[in-house]
Amino acid sequence: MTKALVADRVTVAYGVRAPVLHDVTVAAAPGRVLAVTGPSGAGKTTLLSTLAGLLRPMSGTVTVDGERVRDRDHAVAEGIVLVPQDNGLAPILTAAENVTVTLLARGMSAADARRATAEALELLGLAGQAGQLVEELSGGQQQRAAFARGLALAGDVLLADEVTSELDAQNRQKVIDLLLAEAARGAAVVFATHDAEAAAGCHAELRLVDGRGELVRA
Amino acid sequence: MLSIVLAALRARRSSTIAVWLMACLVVAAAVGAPWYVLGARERVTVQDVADDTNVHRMIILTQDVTIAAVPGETPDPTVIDTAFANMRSAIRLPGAIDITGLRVVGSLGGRINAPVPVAYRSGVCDHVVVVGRCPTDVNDVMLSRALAGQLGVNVGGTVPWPTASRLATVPSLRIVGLYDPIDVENAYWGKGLLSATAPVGSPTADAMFVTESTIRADAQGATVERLLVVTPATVTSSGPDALADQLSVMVAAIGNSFALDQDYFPLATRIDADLRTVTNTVPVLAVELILFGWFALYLVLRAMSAGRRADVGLALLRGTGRVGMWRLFGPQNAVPVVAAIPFGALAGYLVARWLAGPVHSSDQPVALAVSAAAALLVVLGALIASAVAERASRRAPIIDMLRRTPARRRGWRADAADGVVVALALFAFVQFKIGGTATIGGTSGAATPTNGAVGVAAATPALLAVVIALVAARVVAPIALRLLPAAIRAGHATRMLTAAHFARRPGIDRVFAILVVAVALIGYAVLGWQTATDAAHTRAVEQLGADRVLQIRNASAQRVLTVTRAADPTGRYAMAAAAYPSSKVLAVDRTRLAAILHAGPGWPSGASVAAALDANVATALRLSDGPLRLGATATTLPRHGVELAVDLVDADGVGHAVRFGPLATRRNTYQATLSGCPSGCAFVDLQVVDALNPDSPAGSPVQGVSIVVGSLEPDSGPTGEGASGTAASGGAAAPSGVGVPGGLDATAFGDRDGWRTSIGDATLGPAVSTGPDGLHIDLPTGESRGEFKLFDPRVFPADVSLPVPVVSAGTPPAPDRPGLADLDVFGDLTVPDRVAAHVAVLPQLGTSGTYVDLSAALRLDGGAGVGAQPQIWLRADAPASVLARIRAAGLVVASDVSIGSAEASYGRQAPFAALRFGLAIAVIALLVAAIAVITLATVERQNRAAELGALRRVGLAARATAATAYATYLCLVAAALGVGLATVAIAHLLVGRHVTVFADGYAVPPAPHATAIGWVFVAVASAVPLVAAAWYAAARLVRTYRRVPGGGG
Repeated sequence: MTKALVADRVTVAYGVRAPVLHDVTVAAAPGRVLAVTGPSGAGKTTLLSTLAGLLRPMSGTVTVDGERVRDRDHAVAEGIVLVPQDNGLAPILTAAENVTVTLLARGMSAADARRATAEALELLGLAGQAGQLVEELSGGQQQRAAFARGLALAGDVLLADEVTSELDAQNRQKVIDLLLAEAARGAAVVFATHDAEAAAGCHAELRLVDGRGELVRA
Repeated sequence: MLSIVLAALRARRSSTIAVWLMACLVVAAAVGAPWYVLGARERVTVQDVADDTNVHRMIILTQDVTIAAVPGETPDPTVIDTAFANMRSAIRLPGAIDITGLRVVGSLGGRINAPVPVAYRSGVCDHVVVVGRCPTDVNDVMLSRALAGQLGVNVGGTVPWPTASRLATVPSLRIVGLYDPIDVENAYWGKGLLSATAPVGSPTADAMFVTESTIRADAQGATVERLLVVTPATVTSSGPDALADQLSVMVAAIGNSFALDQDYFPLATRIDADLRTVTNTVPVLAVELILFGWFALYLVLRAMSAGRRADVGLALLRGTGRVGMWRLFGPQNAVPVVAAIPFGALAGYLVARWLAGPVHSSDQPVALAVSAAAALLVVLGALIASAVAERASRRAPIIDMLRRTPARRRGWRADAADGVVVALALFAFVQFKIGGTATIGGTSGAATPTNGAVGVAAATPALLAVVIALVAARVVAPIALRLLPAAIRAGHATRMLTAAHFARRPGIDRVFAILVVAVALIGYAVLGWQTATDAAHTRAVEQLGADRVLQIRNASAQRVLTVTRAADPTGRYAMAAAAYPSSKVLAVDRTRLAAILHAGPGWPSGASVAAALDANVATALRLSDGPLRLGATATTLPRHGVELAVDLVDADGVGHAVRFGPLATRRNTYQATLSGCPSGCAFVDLQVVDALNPDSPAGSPVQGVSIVVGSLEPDSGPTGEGASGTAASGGAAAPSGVGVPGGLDATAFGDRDGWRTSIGDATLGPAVSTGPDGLHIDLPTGESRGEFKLFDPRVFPADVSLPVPVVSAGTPPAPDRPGLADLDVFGDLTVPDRVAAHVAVLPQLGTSGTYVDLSAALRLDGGAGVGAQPQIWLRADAPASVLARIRAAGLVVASDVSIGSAEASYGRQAPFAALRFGLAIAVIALLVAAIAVITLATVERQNRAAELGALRRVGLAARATAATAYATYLCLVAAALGVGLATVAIAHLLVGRHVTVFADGYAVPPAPHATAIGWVFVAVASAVPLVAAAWYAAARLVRTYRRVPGGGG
């Protein structure tokens, strides 16, 4: 579990429109948490989507352990886990089912998936809401459920996009601690946030302004 | 506001188009039904008339009038005009063939034994081919070529008026033309004018046609005749109802004014039954579809409303009032529904016209009014459904409206509605069981001529489907909820997501119910059609027995047998038969039965029937024209002279007799000359007859005679007594010498097993014994005969095994006797029989009747078989030359029916019209269901795409994501297909076995059943559109979520 994720001079655009990211270069190393900060619209989600294989850069490359990330399926196969900004939860599933289905899709055995699901939800304080449909959860609970799913996947790379935006301070800290714990486990963690305080707790920080990246803290 | 509504419709274009399409289909069914009913009624009635026999279509009014009271008196032709006028006013049938005529009937004597009509008939020259010209002047006459040939006259000659024809004077008639009828079977000829169509036993010479003025001038009296032939045009002119009503009223009004010859009742009954079948069935089917359509529209509109709930929630949050909400959202449902009216109405009209034909002009206003009302009813119902759906979606809390997945909750109203439907279905089923019958196929029952039970019972199959669908739909979510943890335990993500969808997606149970009902409808309709067509085929086969059957009108069974064998010497293509309808006996030429009999359910092979019918018929002695010699010794004779008559029959069934005597009381040889048998005639019998009165009726025969017949042979010169005797042929128990050209000697006449008297318990014959000197015939005096019913003096060669073997269907013979009650083969000839085989069904006779060998029957009957209705059975591959030879032999084919034409005829009857509409309705229902699937998928597509896209982003593989999309809809369809087909099986089991396929209530034994091919067709037919819809919906979903970043691949 020592995979490094590297974006090298990545330029990304949606369709034929002007690029959202310009020549962004950044590396997420195992055991470290990289904070990606910047104002709304700066390109944080775009960068994480690119790192996750969801978007194909116009130029530049995204590599994991030196191998170019081709698409999302490849990224998943390489252990790149994404906790999207909109949580990515299926409304017809309960919190636990949302976690479990992803684990099963990754090939985990049913027993392991159930155990991992329970542990992850327990970590996020959602053991009591495991059987509730997503839309019966509050926004913060949904965000924690999505993060629990990211944790349960136990990937080599964890891309967390604004996973604390709807959380109270206590839960926000809990999530940050869990991000650090993931790094401590050996994962390379990228944490997009506009919360400077949360970013301050990370090992490094990439600041995006108008699609251009500046490593303010290494 | 309008721009907002239009923008909303544009934004949800797919859903809007789907609702419009669905409404179009329902409106089409509603509008099409009245046009179909009225069109089908007329078409069915026209077909009934066209298919029926001339006899049932003819109405003949006759009145005998006296033109001149005494010979020489000035004729009073006004009586004829008065009779014509009265007849015209008595019955008015627009479109019917209307023929007037006059006739007098007399005799020409000489070679013309049959009565000869002298007739005037309107339009006769349009129905004949004339050599010369038609009669135009008084005393002009036109003869048939056949009659002219018999009389030895030609054009330019004269012919006398037939005698005894009530003439004022007896002038000669000028022959101005010779005619041949173009079509002797044309109803124009009515009855009694042509020899070719005269019934056997009631011969009539071809009519001599004269002008009306000839009869007015010459005849002392005449029969005034008006012939009305009901035609399809009568139906199209009057309308189907008017025809039946008018006829019954008019016929009743005629009273005793005229002699009425009509056998219209069977046709009227059939028309009435067909009309009731169509009228009672089609509207029920249409109502079913309208209800189904309303439910589907409600479901779809509710789903659309649910899809707009976020908009509704936001509007409510902004404080939009109730009126504003209706103005904002109401038109979004109403516009596509209302816009469907013109398109659906036009489509419904065109399809109904295509399926059922045009509607009679007198019925068009009714069709227009009813269809307009039906269209408005459909739209009104749809709008109400829309309002209910909109209201139901707004009852939810605003917080629910803002959710992507609304909570599943069922109100009491839905439960109550389900309960009402279930109760209605049970009530219908009970009613059906009590006395209803159902049209096979379709989804409904139909009145039959026997009971008329309709109403709720008619909709039993559809209601049954609804009940099963509702019950099944209620267990969909619970079952899916149980499958969900199982899928998790199995570690199957796609299965888990699919189960979750079924368990939690609102409205999916209702879609499931719609699909189940649609599958049940199409399945029941298709299987109904299959079983009905099978039944039609079975009935056609059963009613014919061969690929093709010709009814021969103008010849005896013997002649038909001879002609058929000559026309097909190979015996592979044609077979003669003769029906005796009064006794339900069919005589078949067993030598050809194996090759000709069509295989069918319930009866054995032709070969086995033929083997069973073998009566061991011996070859008959044949004698040809020329002098004959009979050796006989009379020991007792009455005072008046007696003769010995030998009866023979030629190949055409014409009887000939040659008489020897008067007999003298000593051994003697008698000579006589046979004529009329140049090709040989078969020896039938011999009998002692009164020399002065040889035609003395049975019951008063010669008495007190004892003779010994020792020989019968051609008189070829001086030979010794008995010199012509020859060896016996094979055969039942035929006398020695029979079957050998030549004659019979004393040995042949002395064979006791070779002779018999009349058979049956009702007759008594002479005492017959044999000795070395020949055949002893004793006719006792009346005092010594004891009591008997009828005396038959004939002595027959015993050339048929008795009791005659038969194959019977129906009641099996009693254990203590070999056969049925004595076989009444020829109406007046009772024959002891032996049941050689007992079967369930016999072609043409059904479940009750008897087959006998035609040769045996003819031999027992004395050779001619004049009481039978002769037929010729043909194989489908019979060369045209066979039929050509049959026609060339002069046989008139009264009807020519093949299995295919019989099937087609059944297919045009009312039950099949109902079946066609049922199929159309089922297809529409299936399309509605398919559209419902697409619409509901369209409504939820954005949410589902977001959901699957999100799962895709967090790691669900592309294949698994797509599989989830497809599995959701395909599983829905697959489950509905399974339940739907099970519903079909149940409905078929409960209802399908009690169906009526034919308008006359005929039931085919064995009852038709659904075949494996039928089931496969049902499965494919219902799966194709639904799977296509599911596939399309899933493909659209996949395309949509792939547009989400990361959703591709």
